[in-house]
Amino acid sequence: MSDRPSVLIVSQDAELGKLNAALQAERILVDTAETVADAEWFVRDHPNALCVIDGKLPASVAFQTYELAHASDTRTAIMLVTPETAEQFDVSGAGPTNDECIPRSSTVEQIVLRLKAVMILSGFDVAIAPAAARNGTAHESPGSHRGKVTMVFSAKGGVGKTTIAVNAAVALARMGHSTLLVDADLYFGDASILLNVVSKRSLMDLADVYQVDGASVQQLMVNHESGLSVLSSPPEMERVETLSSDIIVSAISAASYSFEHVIVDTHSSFDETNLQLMDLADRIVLVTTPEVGATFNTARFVGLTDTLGYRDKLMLVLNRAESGINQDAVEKNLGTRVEATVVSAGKRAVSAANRGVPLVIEDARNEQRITRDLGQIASLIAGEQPHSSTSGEAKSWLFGRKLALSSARSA
Amino acid sequence: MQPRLAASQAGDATNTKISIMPPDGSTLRYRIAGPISFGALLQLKRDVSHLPGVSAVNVSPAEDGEAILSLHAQDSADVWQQLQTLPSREVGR
Repeated sequence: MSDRPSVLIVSQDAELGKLNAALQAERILVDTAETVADAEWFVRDHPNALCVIDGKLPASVAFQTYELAHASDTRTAIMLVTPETAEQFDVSGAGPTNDECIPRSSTVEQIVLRLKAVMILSGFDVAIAPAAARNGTAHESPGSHRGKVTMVFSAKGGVGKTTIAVNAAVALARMGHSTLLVDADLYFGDASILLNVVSKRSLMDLADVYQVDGASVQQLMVNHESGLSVLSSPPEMERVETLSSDIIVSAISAASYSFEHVIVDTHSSFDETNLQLMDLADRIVLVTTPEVGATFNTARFVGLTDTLGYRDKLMLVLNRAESGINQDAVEKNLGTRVEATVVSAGKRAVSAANRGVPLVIEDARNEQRITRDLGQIASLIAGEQPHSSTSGEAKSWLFGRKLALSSARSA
Repeated sequence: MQPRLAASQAGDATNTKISIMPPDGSTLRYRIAGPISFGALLQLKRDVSHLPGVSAVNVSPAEDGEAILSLHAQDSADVWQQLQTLPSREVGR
């Protein structure tokens, strides 16, 4: 069932407002009706709605609501019974099998849990864990191990970010690390093209998932021959704006509990999604090229990372390293050390991209310099070689972030 | 006179007493002895609605878990006969 679970609470008691709020916190569509007429409006638009009937309602209203709930074969009634109304609502031996009676004296949490159980019986995809346990990165149990999230970012487009992300991810997978590549370049992502993997599923499908968790994200992945798992960018650009940054970040966070490494390819923008990804990431692979334009924007970004407190996460990669400004000058301009370089191999890289074969697979013996360079980045990400970023002093996160965004927007 | 609504399913032998009430204009009325669950009332209403010659069926819970069944029918004697043999999964307890 793809539609969002919805609940109608029929009650004349303001006390049940707490239940309304708790269900909303679970991202369940919920409405309250005091009369049968009000209830009719809601169920007309929500044929699968669960109807919660307050056992304190006058019997005639309660029965009409019960009748309304069962006017549709797909609807279920949940009765909040009192000792006095328990017999009226008794569902043993009669009525639809999914009906449930819950003592009205139950806590809100208990009622929510029971409602979710009924929703699951009715075919909805509902998470059982309470909302409070699912915010931020708390997607798994406290003892579970979270893999490393590496964001591949550049301050300027066209510097080879996706090529590096794809090849590093494939190299990690071939090194034996369970790895997921997420194409978070939502509008113009092409990582799946470079890998020649086809999938009808993408990040976009998360917009239809009631609860983003490890299982729901897992269903959207496709496997590459290297063993790499891939989560593609949405194929339909016109729907991307409906995909919130919270969903994307939650998905990546949830997936990080199932993989040793999650490589996130991004687009060159300072939007909310990228900012949240930077917060989440353990490492930001910052790709630049030895050109004035790229270096200029990269320098601005490096400056911001100081303010934002991301400096320690930075791993600067100089792509097409020998094709422009020399490395020393780049490092001097950026005030940070280049940790890895990738040689320019334009024709080879373009040819591999066109055929959908990553360079690290095409040159499995590492005979080419570019393959070794890309493999070196994978080794750095894997922690097999020491990472040594120039450390900037972390400043107050919130204040710094606001300041930085303000400067960035006015620039 | 208090006939019983027969339970149709094996092992579901719960019966409910039904009695005639004074009509309200052209509306025939019957009292269903309680307590009766809402599920049973709903089933009863559906069953009665399918009886030939019967229209405007309504069931309304009353005091002490009882319920009032009201309907329109061309032949009240025929309806009364049918109500006594009405198959109902469970009408009350």
